[in-house]
Parts: sequence; C-alpha cells; structure tokens
Amino acid sequence: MKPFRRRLFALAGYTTVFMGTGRPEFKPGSMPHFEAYLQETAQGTSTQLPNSPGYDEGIIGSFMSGRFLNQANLPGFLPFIAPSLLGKPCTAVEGACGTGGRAIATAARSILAETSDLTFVAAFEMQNTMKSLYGADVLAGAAHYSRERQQGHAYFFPGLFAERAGAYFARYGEIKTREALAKWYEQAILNARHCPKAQEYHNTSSDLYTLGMTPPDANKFIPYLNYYDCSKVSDGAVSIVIASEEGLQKTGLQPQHAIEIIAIGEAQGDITVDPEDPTVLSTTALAVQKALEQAELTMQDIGLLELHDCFSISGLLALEAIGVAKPGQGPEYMMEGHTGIKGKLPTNLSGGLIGFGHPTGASGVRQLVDLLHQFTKRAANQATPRTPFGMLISMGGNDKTVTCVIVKSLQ
Amino acid sequence: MTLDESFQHCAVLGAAGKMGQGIAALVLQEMAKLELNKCGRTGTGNFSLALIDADETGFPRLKNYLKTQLNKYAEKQIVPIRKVYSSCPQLVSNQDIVQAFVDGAMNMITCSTYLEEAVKAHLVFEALPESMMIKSQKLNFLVKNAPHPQHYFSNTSSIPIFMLNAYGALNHHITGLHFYNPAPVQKLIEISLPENVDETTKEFAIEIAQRFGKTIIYTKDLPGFIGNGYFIREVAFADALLDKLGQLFESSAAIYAVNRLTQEFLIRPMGIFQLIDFVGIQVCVNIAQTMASLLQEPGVLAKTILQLNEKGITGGLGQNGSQAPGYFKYDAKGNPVAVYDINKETYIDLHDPAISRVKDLLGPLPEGHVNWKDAHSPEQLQKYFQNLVKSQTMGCQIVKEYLRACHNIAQVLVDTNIAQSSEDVNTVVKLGFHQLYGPLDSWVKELLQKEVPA
Repeated sequence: MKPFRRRLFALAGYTTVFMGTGRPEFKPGSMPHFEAYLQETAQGTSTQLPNSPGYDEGIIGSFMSGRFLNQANLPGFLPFIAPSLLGKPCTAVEGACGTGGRAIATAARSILAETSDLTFVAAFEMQNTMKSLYGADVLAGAAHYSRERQQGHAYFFPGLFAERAGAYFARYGEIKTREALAKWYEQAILNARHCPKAQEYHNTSSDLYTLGMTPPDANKFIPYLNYYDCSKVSDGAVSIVIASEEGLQKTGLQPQHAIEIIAIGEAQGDITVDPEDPTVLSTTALAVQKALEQAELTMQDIGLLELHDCFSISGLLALEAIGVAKPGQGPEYMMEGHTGIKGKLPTNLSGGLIGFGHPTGASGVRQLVDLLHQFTKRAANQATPRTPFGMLISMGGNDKTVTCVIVKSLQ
Repeated sequence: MTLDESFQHCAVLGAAGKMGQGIAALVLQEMAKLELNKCGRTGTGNFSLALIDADETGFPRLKNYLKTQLNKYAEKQIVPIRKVYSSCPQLVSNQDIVQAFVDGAMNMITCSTYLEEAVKAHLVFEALPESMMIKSQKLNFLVKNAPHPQHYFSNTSSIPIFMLNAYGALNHHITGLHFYNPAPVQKLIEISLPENVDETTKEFAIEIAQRFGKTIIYTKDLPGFIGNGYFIREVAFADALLDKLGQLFESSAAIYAVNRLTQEFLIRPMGIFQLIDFVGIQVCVNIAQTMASLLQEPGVLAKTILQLNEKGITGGLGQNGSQAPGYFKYDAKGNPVAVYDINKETYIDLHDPAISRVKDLLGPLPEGHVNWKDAHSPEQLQKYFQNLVKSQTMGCQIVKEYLRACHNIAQVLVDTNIAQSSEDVNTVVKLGFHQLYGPLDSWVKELLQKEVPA
C-alpha cells in the first residue's frame, strides 16, 4: 500500500457516556432514546469547531439498530443531528462490532477520492432494549447465523470466544493464561476508573484480580471464561470529523488539536468459514500488517494502542496477532505490565471494551476519539506516549471484518 | 414410585389463589424440567398438572401468571435448556427455545372447578382457604376417588396436619409444606411432620422443598406453626396498641401511626397493617380463629381484622391481580395512598393534615436510621436501635415496647418447642417476613435486657 495521496485528519471527537449496568443512572426501560445520544454526540463534535463550515458528507455506523430499535435507514438521522448534511451524501456502514473501523475507512476513502473535505462520522448502538439472552440472538448476526447459531451457545459470542480460550488453554497452558486474563480485567477497570464516561467508572470492587480469577461456570454461563472476561451490554454514541488538509483549515481548528491518519489496513475474513486456528486472529494480523506497511512503521514505532477486547481473550490474542508477543507469549507480555500506562505499549487507556463499554457499532470510532484525546493531551487517563504514533484495531465478528488505523500526533 | 415418576401427574387445589398460583408455578417448573430432561422437550403429553379452584374467573389470570413465571425460569435456565433443545433443528434462537419450552409446559395444565380432575395426580398440593372443613372434605374426596395412593402437601399455615389427616381420613399421607408469599420467590418453607406420617410422603416433602430451592424449617405440628404463631400474635399486639392510640387519635391516624412505627422505626419492608393487607384480611381472620379455637387462646383474635372482615374489606389479591384495599388503599404500584377510618367507614388520604399531625407527634426517626432497602450490616442496625432505645420521643417509646413484645412472642415459641431453636424463629422472621433481624437475635436480647420495661 502506498501512502495516502492526500493528508487525512481526525478532529473534534466526542463520546457520550457508555451506559449500562454498573452506571448508577442506568434504569432499564426508562433511558433516553437513541436520538438523544446521537444529538448529544453531534453537538459535542460541532461545538469543538471554531468555524461552522458545514460538512460535505456524513457516515453513520450501527450494527443492529434494525433489530434493537426497529430502526433502519440511518442516513436519514444525519441531517437531523448535523443540519448541514441536509441534501448531502450520507451513508450507513455496518460491519458488526467492526462497524466503527469501517465507518472511519469509508469516510477516509471519500476524502481521498476528493469528493469531500469534511466528513462527519457518527456511530452508535443501543443494546439495552432487550434482555441479554435475546440480545445474544441479535448479536449472533455477526457470525454466520444459519450455520452457527443453532448449535451455538445460549450466550453466543461469549461461547465462540470461549472456544478460542479453551484452545489457547490447551495449547499454551491454562494457569498462566487465566492469570493474564484476570490481569486484563483488572487493568481495564483501573483505567476506566479515570474516565467519567466509562461504563465501569463507578466500579469500586476492591480486589479486581480475584474477581478476574473467578472460575468459569459452564452450567450457568460458558466454559473457560467468566463474566469478568466479557465486555458488558452497552448503549452509547460517538462522533468525529475526518478531514482533508483544506477541510481542517475550514474548521478553524489548530492542527495540534487534531491527529493525522497515516494508514488504514482493512482485511476481510470469510464469515462462512471457521477460524483455521482458534488461537490466532489471522484477519487482525493481516489488517495490522497492511497498515504498518502503508505507514512504513513497525510495532516498535507504535506508542499507544487501542485494541478490540470484547473479551479478555480477544485482547490477549490481538497482542499476538499484531506481533508484540510471540504465539503463546501473550500472557507473559500482559503480566510483565507492557500494556500499562507506563509500559512499552500503553493499551486501552480508557478501559477498552471491557472497561469503557461496548455499544457494538460505536466502539471503533470511540477508539479513534480516544487516540485523538491522548495525542492532544485531553484524555481523562492521560499517558505520555513514547512515540507520536498510535494504532487502533476494530474487529467485527469472530475476527472477520477488521480495520486497523494508524494515527500520528501533530503536537 | 420415585418422586420423579410421581411428578408426572400433579394437582394444585386452590390454584387461583395467591398462594396456590405461586405453588402451581413451582410445581409446573419442576415438571417442565423433568419432562425436558426425560423427553427432550416439553409438551409431550406425558405430564399433567390439574389446577383446581372453585372460582373459574381466576383461571385466565392464573394462566398468565404461570406463563410469566415459566418465561422467567426458562430465561434464567437458558444454558441447560438450550443444550437439550440443540437436537431440535427448527429451534434456533434463544427466543425460539424459551417459547417452545413455555408453550410445551403450558400444555400440561388443565384448569378446572371439578375436583375429579385431580384424582389422576400422584402429588397433590393443597392451598385451599384456611378452613378445616373445606380442606378435609376436598382431600377426603380425593383419597376416596383416586385410583392410586396420593401424597398430600398442605400449605395450611395454621391447622395442625394431624387434624387434617384425621378429618380427611388421609392414611397419614399428608405433611405440611407451608410456603411464603410469593412462593416462587420466598426462600422459606415450614415443614410440619405429624406423628406416624407415611415415610414416603415425608421423604417426598423434604425432597420437594429441596428441589424448589427452599430453606427448610421444621415446626411442631401445632396451630399456627412458627410463622403464624409469631405473626398472628404480633397482629394481636398491634391491634391492642391501636386501642390505646385510639384514645388519642382518630382510628385512621392510629392505624397510620402503628403502621409507620412498625415499618420506618423498626426498619421493616412494610408496616404491620400493610402486611396484613398483603396477606389478606380474611386469611388472617381464618388463621386467627383456628388458632384461637384450637389453642383456646382468644387473645389472638385481633378486633380490627374482625371488624374489617365483617365490613367486607378483604385486602389480599384484587380481581385484577393488584393489591386490594384493606387497612390501606393502594395505587397501581402497590403504594398506600389512603388509610381506613373504622369509625367513619371511609378512607382518609395520607396527605390529610390529621395524618401529618400524628407523624409529628410520634417524633423524628432516631439518628442512624436507614431505609430497609439500604440497611445491610448488623452493626448499622445495632447502632440505630441503641439510639432508638435512648430516645424519649413518643414513637421510640412505643417501638421499644413493640420490640419487647415481639421478642417475648418469639421466646414462647421456643419455650413451647414449636420451634426447635431461637435460630429457627429468627430464620422464619428474616426469610418469611423479610425482616433484617430476628426477634431473638442476641443483640436484640441484650438491648432489651438493658432497658427496663416502661
């Protein structure tokens, strides 16, 4: 992949509270409607732009609003939340939990094609509209439903990743892996406690590691993984602006308040085929490799990482897929503290999907907003990155629809 | 015949009542679980549950209730249920599976006003009105007409089982299984085992209670057992207190006052008169009359519950399934909005100035007060009650005596061997009445010992 033909910027990111169990204000059945979340985030983004230049194009991402909300035709909501988009091209993007990554990539393509200089990207999901066991049926649409659902676990996606965890335990050892998964949970919550908008911000449990070590109960939930290994059911919305250099200038925002997107690696797996090796996230590895090649960087150059830990095991497998840990060495990498805020590769500093929450279609964009806030020194849990480069990995389904974005600080 | 085999055909008598519907839900869940594991699905036609009630108008509500309970059960048990249904290719989603499980289980039930429908049952759960005559006649009909021996489990909360056995000629095939309301939720069950009880019936009773996930407390087979032995005597004490306060206030204000003292000051989930309403006034009258007559203890007959009963004020479950008016009138969510004035024969709004005046006269809640929902540690409670006994407000003075009365009532249950231990009484009060502390908790005893009775 060649470098981009135009410079690409991300700016004016905004994330709503990621809502669900654990938030004291969460009251199932009487929460704000999704339009309110979308309005909040659009407002949060537009008020950061000194000028009001108007957007050229809008992208909206959501995974299953048709099922959770009975609402389709989402592009119609973009002029509602960003009036300058009335009469402009607006597009909805869906790639399961990797929707956010694909929304960013779609926006980037339009800037690169010079059909837009300022593209507004919003992403959201509202999943608390139904009980989790029925939500599991809906989310199973991220896999090959007709082939996999019937024999799948009641809690379908946790079940799929439990299979990966079981295979990993068998090949590399259960004890060290379990300890690393517990550590992952602990770190996710400790990071989230710094972020008022995180779903786990109010988590006051005193011994997180012990909770993370809770033995899995296959009779009540799933084998190999416990509740703490899983991201929760969340509602939330997020938005950001993707701009060309001209677009950035039009906004009146100083470049140091933006970040540059220097590479995007997209990779697609075949949803009708099971993973060849359940201990490997091969599509993730491919997307990351593409992005690094385009950016002409190696993982050594990456100073901040946002990865897709829908389950603690997927976080661990991602560390191996991106090459910072060798196969089977992810647990050691985790236990040695390299992913901590002062480690070699600070990772998921707002808590990741487990700590910050995971409104499925929104997570990829939330990751980009977090990188923007980190590199513009506005993060709630601010790190001092070792390098000016950050990476996000947005993964849809069982490692099927993966987008890797590499950004560069402008400060 | 094993218990699993016996569970294939069951009956609940008085199924449309408050207790009956809860017991029916538990029985149906157990039957559905057994059918699923045995046959790979529910609704095979191999299991039957006869739901008998004299009032057929209650059946639609009963069916709705059972469906809701089954849904909850299936959702909670989705992991094992889904495993069994994995052999049914047409069932894919959790939604499909829950629905198939529930619909199949609902096919087991037959609602009827005819007792004949229950003769096929092996296990008969009785939740009929609290009347010796009704219960013993119905059970006697079954024992005479059933083609095989049946095991009877009575939910009576006051009538000794040995008497039901004798009057119904039940050949010792009966035990007491006294559930608490709502039966699917409440953890407590009182088991009363009369002398000479059939060994299989006894074993079944204990295993059924265990399968239902209940905490078992054994009670002596005497009128009222532990639960009502405590509750009905407390009601009588509260009623006597009404009499005293009635000399100072209007009757509505006195009812409000005692209810407030027993809820807020004693940190209980509801006040004593609200609890009577919840149980049902007629139910309380029946229990009290049984106890008064069999124990020759007329003091347990509270005057006001008799008065309200005579006026046709029932409490309990209303026709639409909501809380019916009793001492209080309730809104749709079950919160009291008005209190009955016995002399004026009308309900007085709780915002009435006379009610507010009583609240002021009782005085503020002592320091350290927490709501029942928010009180978690025994230390928190002890500290609060220490402040309460020191307080000289009218409310605290009354409550001190009330606490002492409850303690004394509970102690008599232990002294007369109705309960096997103080701990059993405490367990009944905590689990059965959702109180945070038992009347015989050691700290309560210590607190009262330090205090000289007024």
